[in-house]
Amino acid sequence: MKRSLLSAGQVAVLVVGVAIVAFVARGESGIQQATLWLVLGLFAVSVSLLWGYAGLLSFGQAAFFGLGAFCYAWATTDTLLAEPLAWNPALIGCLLSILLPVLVALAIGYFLFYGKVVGAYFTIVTLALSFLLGSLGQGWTKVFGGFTGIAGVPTLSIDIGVGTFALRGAWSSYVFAAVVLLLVVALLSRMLATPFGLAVDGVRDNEPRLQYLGMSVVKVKLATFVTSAGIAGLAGALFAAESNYVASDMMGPVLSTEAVIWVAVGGRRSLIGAVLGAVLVRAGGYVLSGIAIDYWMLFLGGLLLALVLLGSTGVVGILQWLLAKVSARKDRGREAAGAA
Amino acid sequence: MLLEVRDLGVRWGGIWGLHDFDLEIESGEIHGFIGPNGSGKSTLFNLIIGRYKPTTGHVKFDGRDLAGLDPDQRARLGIAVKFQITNVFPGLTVLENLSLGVMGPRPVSRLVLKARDQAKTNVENAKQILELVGLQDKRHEIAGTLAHGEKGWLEIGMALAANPKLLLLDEPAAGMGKDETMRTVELVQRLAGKRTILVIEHDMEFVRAVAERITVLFKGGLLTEGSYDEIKADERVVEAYLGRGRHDATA
Repeated sequence: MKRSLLSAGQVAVLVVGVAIVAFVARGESGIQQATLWLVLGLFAVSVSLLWGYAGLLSFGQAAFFGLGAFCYAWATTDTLLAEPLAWNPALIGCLLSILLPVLVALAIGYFLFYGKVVGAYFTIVTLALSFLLGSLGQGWTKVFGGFTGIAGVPTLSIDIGVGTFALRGAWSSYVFAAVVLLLVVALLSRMLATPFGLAVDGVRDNEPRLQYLGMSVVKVKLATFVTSAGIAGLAGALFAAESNYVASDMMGPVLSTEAVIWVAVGGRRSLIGAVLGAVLVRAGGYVLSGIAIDYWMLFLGGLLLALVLLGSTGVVGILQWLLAKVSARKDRGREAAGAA
Repeated sequence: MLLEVRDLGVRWGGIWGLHDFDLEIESGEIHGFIGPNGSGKSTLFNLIIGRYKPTTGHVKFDGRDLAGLDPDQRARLGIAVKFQITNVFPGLTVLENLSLGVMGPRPVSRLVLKARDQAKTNVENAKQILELVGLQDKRHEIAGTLAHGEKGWLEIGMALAANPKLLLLDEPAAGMGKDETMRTVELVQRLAGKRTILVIEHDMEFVRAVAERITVLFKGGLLTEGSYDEIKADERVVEAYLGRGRHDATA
C-alpha cells in the first residue's frame, strides 16, 4: 500500500515539475507539448507493465496505442460513419479506445500464450503485428485515412447531462492528462501490490517454476497483456484528442520501438521511470528539434544500445544507486562521529 | 491408494528413458528411489509432474487419470516437486518465494478480487513454512544470494507451502555438506506420517533414514523393491548399484 502511494506521489511531483519547466521555457505552446509528453508517458506505463514487470518485451505496443487513437477518431469524425456519433462521441470514442485494443490483445494473447510462444518469439510476433497494422493503415485509405491520416479530430468534450465537460485551453488539457495519468498509475501500483502483482513478478523471474507450483501462468500473462493494451489504447485516444490528428504510423513499429527506448531510459521496472523516460526523450527531441534532430535520433539509438549492453536499470536505477551511496556515506559518517 | 503408475514408459528416438514401469503409493508413505545415473528416476518424476508426455501407460493420482493434464493442473490437484537442479525465484525474497508457493494453486481471478484476505493468509502460511525450513533470519534476503543448501530448503518449503498431497523430492541433499544433509534428513523426518513423499537420493544413509520402502531402478526399468535391508542383501542391486564399492555409492 505504502509503495503504491509513493509511486503516484512521485509521478505527481514529476508532472508539476514538467509543467513549470515547459511554461517557463515556452509559455502556452510549451504546455501543449508537455501535455503530449504526459500522454506518451501513459503509453510508456503500459510498456513498463508488460516488459518491466511481466518480462514480456513487446515491439508492437504502438499497435494498441494507434488503434485507440483511431477508435477516438472514428467516433468523433465522419471518416467511417456518415457523420460523427450523435450522442457523446468523445466519451464513446474513449471507451472504444480501451475496449477494441483489449479485445484484440485478448485474441492475440490467447493464441500466443496458449501456443507457448515465449521469449524472443513473442517479441517478433508483436513486431510483426505492428508492421501489419502500420501498413494496413497506409493502404486502407477509407478506414485509416491512408498516408494523410485523419485530420480535424476534435478535442475532448463530454456531455455530462447537466452541462458539457470540455477541455478549453492548454492548461485544462494538461491538468486533465495529468489526472488520468495519476489515476492509472495509482490503480496500477495498487494492482501490483496485490498477490496478483507477486504472481506477475514470479512470471518474470521464473515462469516454469511458477507453473509447477500450480499457477496458471498463461492467465497471468494474458491478464497483464490485456491490461497493458487497454492503457495503451486510452493513451492513444488522449493523444488523438490533444493533437487533433491521427495517422497510421501511430500503430507502426517506429513508435513501438521508441516506447521501448523511453522505458529503457527511465527504468523499466518502475512506473515513474516509464513516465520520466518518455518525458526526457521527447523533451530532449523538442529542445534539439531546430538544431540537430538527425543527431538526436542517432544519439537515441546509441543510448538504447548502451543501456541494453550495460544491463542498466535506467535513470531511476541510477538515482536509486546514488541515493543508496549517499545514505551509506551518511551512516558511515554517523558511525565515525559516534566512535569519536 | 494415492498414486498408481501402470505400464509407464517414455521413448526418445530409439531410447526408452523408462519402460514397463508399475508403482503403487499409499497415503502417508515415504518412498525412496535409488539407481545409477540414467536409470530413469528423474524421468519417472518428470512423467508424474507432466514435464514429459508418456509414450505408454498412465499415471493415476487420487483416483484420477492425469493423461493430458498440464503441470499447473497437476500441481493444483496436489502434486508438488523439488527439482534436482535447485529451482527457486532468484530475484525475489525468501518470503516472496514462499508466498508464491502458498498461492500457486489458487485461481488467478481470486488473486485480484480477494486480494486483501489473500495477502494476509499468504504471509501467515509462508511464515509457518519459514519456521519449518529454518530460514526465519533470511526471510527478506533475495533468494539468488542464498547458499546452495539454503536454496534447497527454500525450494522444499515452496513445494510444501500449498499443502500438497504428494511431494516429490529429487535429490534433496545433492551437493550438501554433512551438516546440511543431516538438517535435510531431519526436515523430511518431521514430515513423516503427515505427508506422502517420493524421494530420489544417491546418499544411501539418507534413504535409509527416511524411507520405509525403496524402489531400485536400472536402465529405465524396475529392478526390485523392498525395505533397506532387503535391498542391501539383493545380489542384483549390489551388482547394479553398490557393486562398484560402498565408497562410490555413499559418496
